[in-house]
Amino acid sequence: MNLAHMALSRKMKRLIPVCHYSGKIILLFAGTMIVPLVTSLAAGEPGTALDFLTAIGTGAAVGLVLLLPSGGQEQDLTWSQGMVVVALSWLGSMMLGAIPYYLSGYWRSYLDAMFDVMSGLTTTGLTLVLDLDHVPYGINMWRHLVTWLGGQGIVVLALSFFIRSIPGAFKMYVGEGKDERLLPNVVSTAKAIWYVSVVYLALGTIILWIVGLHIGLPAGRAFLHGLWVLMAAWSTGGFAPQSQNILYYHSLAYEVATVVFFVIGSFNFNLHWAIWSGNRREIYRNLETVTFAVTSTVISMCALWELSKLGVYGDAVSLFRRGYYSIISAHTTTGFMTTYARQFALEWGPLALVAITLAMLFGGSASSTAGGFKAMRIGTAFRGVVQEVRRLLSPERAVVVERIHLGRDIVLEDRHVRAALTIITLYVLAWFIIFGVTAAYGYDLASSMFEAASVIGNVGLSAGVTSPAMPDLLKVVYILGMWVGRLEFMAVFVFLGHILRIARR
Amino acid sequence: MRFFRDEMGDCESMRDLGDMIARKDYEHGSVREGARSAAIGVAVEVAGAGILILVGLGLAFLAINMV
Repeated sequence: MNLAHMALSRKMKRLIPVCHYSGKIILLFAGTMIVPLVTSLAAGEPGTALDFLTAIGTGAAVGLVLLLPSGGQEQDLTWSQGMVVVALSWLGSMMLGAIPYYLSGYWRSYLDAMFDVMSGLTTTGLTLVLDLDHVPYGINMWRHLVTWLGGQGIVVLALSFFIRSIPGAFKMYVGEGKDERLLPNVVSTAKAIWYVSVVYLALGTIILWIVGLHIGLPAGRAFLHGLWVLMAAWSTGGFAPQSQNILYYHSLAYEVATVVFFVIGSFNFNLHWAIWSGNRREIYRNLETVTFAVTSTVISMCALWELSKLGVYGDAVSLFRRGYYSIISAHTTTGFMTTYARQFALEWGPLALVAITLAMLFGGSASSTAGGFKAMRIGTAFRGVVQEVRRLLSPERAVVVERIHLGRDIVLEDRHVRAALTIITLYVLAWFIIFGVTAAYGYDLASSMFEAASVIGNVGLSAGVTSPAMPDLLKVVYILGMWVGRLEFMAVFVFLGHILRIARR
Repeated sequence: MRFFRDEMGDCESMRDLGDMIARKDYEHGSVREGARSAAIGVAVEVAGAGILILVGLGLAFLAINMV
């Protein structure tokens, strides 16, 4: 036992595991910057490479300092410590990842740079970058890599490659909003998540590369755009290398390919693994895919009816490419855009606007890269209502059993419904607060409602509120909203509870 | 904090959700079997996503024409 360790009080010793794993995750996150560093060097951008070297050095120093108290020894974690590690690691990664952004000069302030990293990590896709169309290759690689890493989860990344199987591993895994294990061992589960993601990364990049070549992009550019867009699509992120987002490509093939990949990206990793392991029927039996099919269809029907009535898009193909694409992009919480931002608030009628806002709040599947309430919770809450109605219609002594199918049949219990409704309520409350703050700054109600749903649902569609010129306090509120939305409240509340407890002493 | 403990408890009880699934392929399958299984899995998922998109789109257009 080293001297530093002995000198710490008993209370402070509780922070040792938190420091240990936060340090490891920060070290790993700094290590991932080697990819954009190499990209910068290959693209002949020495200034950008130096920015990444600075960030890597800073990350290595911070990570090693955090590892000092534990002497590098693996630690056990309690539930609350696991949650704190996750919340802290995400904040630390945000601050670290913002260094190359800020140094590049493409972000107006360090706050703007942190906003974009949090937007990437949470797979939101809102951006405050200046002159995106001329951003260096290295920076663009980092923007999309951050989204891809965030989609899988940086704790999942650490568990896969950096942290051996430990008793506390599952607690960090849950803290990151993924509450289902694909395999008995949580480290194997984390590796399985990466296996699925890497296969789709390879396949999707090749397809988008071919489409890019077909629409006339040079080979190298087509490859990089394919890789970056796929990273954002699979992670239901929403970043794209051009300021016009997916509209830039003017390609139906690009839109069809991306919509398929972000729909698949919004599936639960448990579902991917079940299908890949031979349980093919799971795709139409799973509560989440059924719920998503129903909600996306109903929402699309309402929105497209309104858009058609108002004549916003002239023909059926435009209605698909602009209207339907936006609805599915919102529902999967991707945020890819094939329309201009202000169109939502100015041209989409009230019904279509409410429909797309609901789609953003509903979100994709649990244990996926998507945000929002999650289809599992909507499905569970709905089945809870069905169970109650059946109970009321049945004789008093009758036992009403409702089952949901999530990989296997589960008897629906009150605690499942309560847990689902609690998180949905928290999402709605958070949405209302962000909506209120945005409106208080003078933005119109429709845009405020839309933008707040985009932030808390980690979507990335914008009605034009998010811009470098927006007030700094609103940027901070949006950063917190994205963070809370991605970690699904639990880890953040435990983290805040710890801070309050320390402050009281 | 009670609610969140409950939610965590819920997560605990769902820990074994995926345990029944996939164990044999991951732990005992050969690379060839794994690749085949992944290829079929990708095909099923792409088809599933495609059907989901087309059905949703079809119903939406049907609704437009009916109203």
